[in-house]
Amino acid sequence: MLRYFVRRAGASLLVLFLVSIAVFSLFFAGAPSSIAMRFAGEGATRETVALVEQNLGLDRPLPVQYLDWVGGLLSLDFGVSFRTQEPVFESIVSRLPATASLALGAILIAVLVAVPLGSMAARKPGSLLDRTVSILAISGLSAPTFLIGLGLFYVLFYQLNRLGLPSFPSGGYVPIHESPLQWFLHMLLPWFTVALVNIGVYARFVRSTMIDTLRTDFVWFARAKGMSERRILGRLALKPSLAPLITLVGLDIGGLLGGTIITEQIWGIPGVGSYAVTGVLNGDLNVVMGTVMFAAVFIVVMNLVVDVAYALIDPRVRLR
Amino acid sequence: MSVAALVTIALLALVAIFAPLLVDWLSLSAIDPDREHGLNQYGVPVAPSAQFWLGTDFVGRDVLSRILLGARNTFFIAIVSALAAILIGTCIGVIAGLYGGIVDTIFAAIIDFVIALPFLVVAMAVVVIHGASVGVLMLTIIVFSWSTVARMVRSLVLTIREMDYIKATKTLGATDLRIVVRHILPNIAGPVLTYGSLLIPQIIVMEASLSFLGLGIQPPNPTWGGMIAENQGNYAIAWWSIFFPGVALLISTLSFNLLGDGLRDAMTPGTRLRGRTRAERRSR
Repeated sequence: MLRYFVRRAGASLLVLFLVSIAVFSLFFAGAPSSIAMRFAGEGATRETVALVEQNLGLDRPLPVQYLDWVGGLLSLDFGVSFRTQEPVFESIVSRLPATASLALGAILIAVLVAVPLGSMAARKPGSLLDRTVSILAISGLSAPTFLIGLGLFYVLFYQLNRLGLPSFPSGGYVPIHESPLQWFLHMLLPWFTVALVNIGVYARFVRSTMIDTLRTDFVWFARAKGMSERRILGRLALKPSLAPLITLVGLDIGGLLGGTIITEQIWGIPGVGSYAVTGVLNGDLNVVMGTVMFAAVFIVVMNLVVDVAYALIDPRVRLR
Repeated sequence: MSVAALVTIALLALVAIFAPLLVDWLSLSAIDPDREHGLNQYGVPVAPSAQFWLGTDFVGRDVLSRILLGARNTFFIAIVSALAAILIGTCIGVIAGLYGGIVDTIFAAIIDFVIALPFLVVAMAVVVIHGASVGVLMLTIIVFSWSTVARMVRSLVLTIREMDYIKATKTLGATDLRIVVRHILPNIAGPVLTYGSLLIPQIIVMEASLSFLGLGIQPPNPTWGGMIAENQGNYAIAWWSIFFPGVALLISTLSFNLLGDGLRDAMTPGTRLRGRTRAERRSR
């Protein structure tokens, strides 16, 4: 097990190294002069641009700049925002609770709805419920998040308010330690914006693994011994059917923690994703590179966690 | 279901191809604002009517004409990018699967690395640094799409390569090229085709999401995501200018997804929906 873990962790480090090189060459080495020019402002003289370059350390050789940057990343120093002069790492960390509330809550909702839905659909393939699940899955995959978000906003905020039923806040974020109730109300629509995409996909996934499990010998044996169909679905067959879902959920959490950009944008949530958007639109290089690396770390770490969790559950994986 | 989806796709493709003709025939403003007819005396967009079938947008342009032209942009980007991603992914997947060893290890690391990049942030940054153009947009989409194709092709090739008939052909002296062209490609064509029809809606969503963030094809050239973004603030007075582009977008992605599902069911009964996990929902 340890060997397997070390091998997987090594591969993850390699991937992160590749990501850091790509991010650096894409954003930094790609266009240093234009960065300095952007900071010097329009119509700046050559001397001003050169001075800015010197101040930002952009005139040093590229490998030196890269090592400097990676060294900073490793000591959790992502540099400062060119625009606000605030340290990037601290800004990201301070925005993480909002993104984490959104990501974890949405995934929790999706799993809680999808597992019963998928199991019931598996019990009667081809039934009305089963077809509903597959339609849900395909619609979830087909609808861009921004469309779902705008739809929820229009129906559940605007129309309800117009009817004189002030229901949900229009957006924004209240930290949970300030007011748990307000936090919950503010997160509800953003949660569903993300969850609606995932519910169908998870349900369809649970359905297909559940159908496989229901065909296995141990389920037939339990049935022959007189175990009720309900108990089989709810207990016996549930565990082996849920294991593969861990992969899906884990990877989704990793991806979402790195920034739920569109959802945050629509609901005005000050999370990591909206920080990345501001950074990109301002051409704030340290912010962009910091958020990309941050997101990549989450994706890679969750990949590793999922693989290791899976190897713990299913020992056959370790030997592959 | 799949047949209906195929018919819809064919119709949409025809619309995309003949969009300029259709727009000429409607002879309404698709690009230039028409403040005289397209907005009422208070400057509010006109609701769907006999003249403007789907209403007008925030500067008085005909929504239907813009949806038609948008179809052209969307389909061009989606189909060309999907073809390129499939071509690259298949080549790399076949090479990695066939030769194995160090080549395979390197390609596997590269595939993992592409998957570890957060799509929207990187795409936004690339567009901001290198400017928003159709070329940059498509290149970014291709870079993010080939990896899943390559991963799938690689695993298919790994199984096919161990088949007895491949070993037999090898014994008879067939070259690698012949094995690939005569045996491997025909064997992976089905799954690749299926994946292709599932990749197109993903790319449509990617493109629409970038356009929604204002980083896609630049206005006044219309795309569906861009139309939704630019009319977003008008939800209270002109719902049609957001609703109809959204419907067009959904019809297209739904049709391709239904077609892909149908193809998969037809080719591999009892599949487990693996491999369609994270990549397809990147654009959040």
